[in-house]
Amino acid sequence: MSGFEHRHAGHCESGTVAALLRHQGLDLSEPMVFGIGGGLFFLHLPWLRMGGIPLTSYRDAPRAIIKNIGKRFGIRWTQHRYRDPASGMRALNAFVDSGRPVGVQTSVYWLPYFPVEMRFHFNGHNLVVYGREGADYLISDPMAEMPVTCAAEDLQRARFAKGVFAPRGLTYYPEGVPRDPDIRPAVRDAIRATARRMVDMPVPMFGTRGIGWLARRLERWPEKLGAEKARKWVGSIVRMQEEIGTGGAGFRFIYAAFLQEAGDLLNNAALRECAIELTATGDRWRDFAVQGAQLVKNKRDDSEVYAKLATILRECADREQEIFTRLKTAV
Amino acid sequence: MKTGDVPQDREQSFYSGHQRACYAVDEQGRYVVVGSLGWEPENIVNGQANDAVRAEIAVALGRARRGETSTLAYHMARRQMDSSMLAAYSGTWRLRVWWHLRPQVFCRLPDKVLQRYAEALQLPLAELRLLPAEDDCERL
Repeated sequence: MSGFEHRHAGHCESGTVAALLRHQGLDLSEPMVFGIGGGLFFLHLPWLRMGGIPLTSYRDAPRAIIKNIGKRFGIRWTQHRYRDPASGMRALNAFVDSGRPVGVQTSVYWLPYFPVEMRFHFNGHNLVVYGREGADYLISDPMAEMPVTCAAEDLQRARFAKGVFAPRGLTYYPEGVPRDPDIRPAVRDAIRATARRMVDMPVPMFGTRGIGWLARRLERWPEKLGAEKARKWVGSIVRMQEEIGTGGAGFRFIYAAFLQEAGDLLNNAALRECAIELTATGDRWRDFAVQGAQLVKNKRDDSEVYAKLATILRECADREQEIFTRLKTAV
Repeated sequence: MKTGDVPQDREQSFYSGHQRACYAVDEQGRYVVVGSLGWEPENIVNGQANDAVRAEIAVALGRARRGETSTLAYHMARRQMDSSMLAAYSGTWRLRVWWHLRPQVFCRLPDKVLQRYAEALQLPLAELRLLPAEDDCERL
């Protein structure tokens, strides 16, 4: 069961998709897959809460990359979900025994190779199962530096986790990939689509407007929620930005890497400049994380800190507004 | 972020020796992947989230010790579950789980019902009725 190349990735979905495509002969970098998959986004939904904390996301919905890659390359994904865990595991065995690595959606909570302190009930994780050895599965988890193994019962539990976004045993693989496709149209299409989504959404919760909207709300958190809850909410944003597998700065760095690669591919100076700009914006997002974490650590409850955080957010919003407005017409 | 600035804050890192892939710019201005052993801000907010879990377990344990809830509530908290998630895992209704969080109801439950909770929580059946001797607020 060798012959599957593992690569450490910034994000689980783009890492898994890149690995599956590469195995079939379409070798794209992870940033390319993330970018063409239209992974980048921003949203803040105060009324959609998980554990009492509003949802803040720096990317598109889970599975968007899989869907968009399929659409832009004309790749069909074979996808199966299973009602019965035992039959889901039998089907997985049949795939890997026939030498076909498959993408699998799991919860991170039940995966024993994850560090304990990172095991929360999050059902949107993706990994590749590429073989079996005795009772263990051979797994290429994009979040890990090296391939890992996982006992059958643990993997079954992770695949059939319950709750929000339950994976229901989902397995997927591309039915075939185009040989030496011209990826330039896909890149152009993807950049335009992401740019439009970032700056043209007519609602305040999404895209660059969403960042400014979050800034306005965040300023009022200490008085509205009380000091402790406000710190908890700020901490959760920083976690969404840095901890949940984003490659740094809430996917801004990985997208900048994509723009850089796209700039070379299309020989487009504007894209290269936007890559540099987005890197600088990512650095500001990292500042936001540093300041936010300091607030959590020091427990200093003056509204000055919140004003400062809001200022950084507004700056990020303005910069991204400029970048994505430019990108709309740059390709 | 430059490759040289990719944080390597090993201290109190929850990655436990693993590395996180970070995208950073090298000397030539090209993006590359660099492994990070940890980053202090991340460690702080992860610590905050884990402290919140421990606090919830401590509350659940206290209430179960005082007899305000059944022992099931404590074990549910140790698995970071709420009643609707436990209901989904054990294939029953949330209201039924909620009902079983009452001590006087829980202590009369037949093993058949307890078995479903034991499987959902991945615990031996006998442990469901027990509380730890020490104040154990760690998750499972």
